[in-house]
Amino acid sequence: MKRYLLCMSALTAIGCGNWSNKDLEFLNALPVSSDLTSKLPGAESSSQGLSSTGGQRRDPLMSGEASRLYADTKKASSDFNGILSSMLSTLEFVRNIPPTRRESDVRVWGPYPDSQHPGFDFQIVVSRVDAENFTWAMQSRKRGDNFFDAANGNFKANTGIRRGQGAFAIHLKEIRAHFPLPGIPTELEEIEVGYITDIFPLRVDMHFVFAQGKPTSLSEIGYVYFEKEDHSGAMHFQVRTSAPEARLVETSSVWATNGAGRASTQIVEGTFKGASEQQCWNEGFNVVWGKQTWLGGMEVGNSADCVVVSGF
Amino acid sequence: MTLNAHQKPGAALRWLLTALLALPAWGASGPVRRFALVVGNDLGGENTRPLLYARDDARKLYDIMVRLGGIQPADAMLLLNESADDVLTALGELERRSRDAQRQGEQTGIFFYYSGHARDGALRLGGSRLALESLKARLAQAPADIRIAIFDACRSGALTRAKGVRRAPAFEVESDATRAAKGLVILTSSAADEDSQESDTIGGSYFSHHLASGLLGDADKSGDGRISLSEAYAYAYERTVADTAESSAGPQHPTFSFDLAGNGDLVLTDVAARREGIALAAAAPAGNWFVVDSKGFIVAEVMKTEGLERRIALPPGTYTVKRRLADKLRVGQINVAEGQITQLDDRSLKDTAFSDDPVKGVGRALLYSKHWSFGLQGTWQAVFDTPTDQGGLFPSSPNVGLEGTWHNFFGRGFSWTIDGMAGTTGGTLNTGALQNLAYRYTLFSVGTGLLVEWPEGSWGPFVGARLGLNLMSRDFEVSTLPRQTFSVLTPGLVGGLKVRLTQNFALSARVRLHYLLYNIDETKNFGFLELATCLSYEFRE
Repeated sequence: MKRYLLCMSALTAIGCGNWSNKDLEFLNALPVSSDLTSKLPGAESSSQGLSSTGGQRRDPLMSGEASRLYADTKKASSDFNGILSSMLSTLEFVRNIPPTRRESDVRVWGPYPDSQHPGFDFQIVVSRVDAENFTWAMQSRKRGDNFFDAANGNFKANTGIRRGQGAFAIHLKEIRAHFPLPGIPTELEEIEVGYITDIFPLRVDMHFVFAQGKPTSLSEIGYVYFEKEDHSGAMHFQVRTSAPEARLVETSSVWATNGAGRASTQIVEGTFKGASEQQCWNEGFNVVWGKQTWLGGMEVGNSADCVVVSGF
Repeated sequence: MTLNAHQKPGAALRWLLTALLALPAWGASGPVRRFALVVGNDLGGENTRPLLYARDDARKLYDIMVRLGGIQPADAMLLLNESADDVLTALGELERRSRDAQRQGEQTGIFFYYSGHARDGALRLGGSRLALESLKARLAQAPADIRIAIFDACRSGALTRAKGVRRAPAFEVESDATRAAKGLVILTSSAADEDSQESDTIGGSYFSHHLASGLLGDADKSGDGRISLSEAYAYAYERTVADTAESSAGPQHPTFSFDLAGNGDLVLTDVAARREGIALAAAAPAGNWFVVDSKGFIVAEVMKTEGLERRIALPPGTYTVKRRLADKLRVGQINVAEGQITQLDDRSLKDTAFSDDPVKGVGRALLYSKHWSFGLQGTWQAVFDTPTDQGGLFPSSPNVGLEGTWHNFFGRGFSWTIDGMAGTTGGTLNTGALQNLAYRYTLFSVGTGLLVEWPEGSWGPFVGARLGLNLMSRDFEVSTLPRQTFSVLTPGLVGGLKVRLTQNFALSARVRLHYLLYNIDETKNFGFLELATCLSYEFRE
């Protein structure tokens, strides 16, 4: 309201508002979580996620039962989506307010007080490198100090809304050097994200980098998500852990537009190397075929019932 | 001695008729070069209400004197809403020309007419004043053989009542008078203690209206086609007193005074020589005939006498002629061609109901009263910018809105408007790598303006200035892009034409041209044009 009144006062001499074609181009360079999050058909799963993939107890495979691997895929999708949304929430904040400073090839939002970290300010700087290429940085500082990059990225725009190719990184180690990050494993030092949104299938890569040589249950997580124009998709993630039974576990899932899909998970490194499980599920997310290699091996259903999803 | 027709109406009028008929000819006994200064001023400065018809009366008398009074346009001056200094300057110029003419051996005459305010012994010309006594003295000493001054102003009779005017030594009627006269004649529209009244119906002051009608021919009592000063005065006196007798302000009595030597007839207008206008045959029905112009104002009245032809000199044009009978009107159109007398025949008139009176009911007093009007408008706002699908910022859009106008708020014809409108349109934006960005544009605009209106007649133009506040927003189909807004004051100009549909309803076509400053990314100067139609209702009593 105060800003509005100020604006009205200023109107006596100048215009007021955020009407800018160029601002849109700068905003277009910032990633939007809804563009990068995976869209897996079906309701949210209650299954456990990635951190519990290795060594957990599994119920016997049953045809017609709800697919456990679909649930795992869904849970992983939800987890990664949550991480992405959390990372990009600050960027979302600036979308609804005009830049604080406009220069010919730069837009700056801030500095604003960081409400979660008293005494700190943050700002977002978007720079145009050339007609297509932009870089951006989310910067923080202790009030009075110089800014450091908490996150930064780049984007190469192509024709269309948020169509292009980009990458960004969250520098957790750098942030942690200035203030604590409760709820985030201290070993996690960096999250790197790459994305391609100008051609199908859309692709999002995430890489979680952990501190090397420290005792931890997770040491590296990789994630790749694909999405086709018809909303069929695929997801591949791998988890490197310190558990001796399953040091590297890889899971791949694909699904059709109607939700039917298939997934496989395999222990690539560790005592149980070679152990794997495969499942196909129908559009109701129930197992139509399944095969697991542990506990003496088991196969249920008919593999011919598995959906065929190509193009990934 | 100075005679005052108001003080002794009957005797004085007869005496004046006798005296003026004996005046030297205004052109009758040799060529007289005539000069005219015609002044009209609606404004009287402090403690006066603007008059509605003073300037019109001046225009009317000016036209008549130039067209029928033997005055060359180059020797006539018309001053409208000018100051006292301007009047004196113009009078000085005419005096100079008259003096020069006299040196050339010509006889000269100066005709001075004033319509406007007079108060406290002075003509009130806007914020300036011109003392009556000094003006009279100036006229009395003007270098001309004959000076005729006519004042149509409140309490102008003070001029004829005041001392210092010498009575003419001889006023015998001499129809064959040959002696040139020198002197001053003053006619006033009202007595020293009376107001001069205006009428919406006739579109002028009573006195000037009847004086004009008389000069156009209706005062030609002798039937010789020449209107003498005595005829004109007698006619105007009789009609003015009659028309104002029942008015709320009371009867208004014109006055005269003169200071003359010589004799002869003083002709003011010569309708016979002009031979242009309308003629009522001797057989035409007696009674009052009204000639109405295209604006609905009476330009001439004819008091038709049984068995006498009456000729009215009118400029070329189309007129409506009206006769008022006890139970109906008789109305017809008549066209006056250049250089021709059009015979007016009662048989060409048609019976008409009183409700279809060609004399408009909306008088100027009503037109210029302070009143509100409200209108519904449809507008197309065209922004002078590149289309948004080629990188432009602002689209053009249709709008609807309301408009309120307080007419005559800042004075006669000066109105204050407030308006608001809203509109929306869709479009696509292309900028940089962003292509086909669909958006919905919304505009709210409020504004206030000052208009100058000319509301008379069926078509009323108006112009003015407006200050608008444009509140613009655009919402993108893509939800992740923010709503963008821009608010800015936009000064502009307004012009248009209002067509009166009925007494209260009007339809107007309007154009606004506004400046639009954009200063978000960079400073850019835009403009926009608004084309609008507005249906309005005026709350007039």
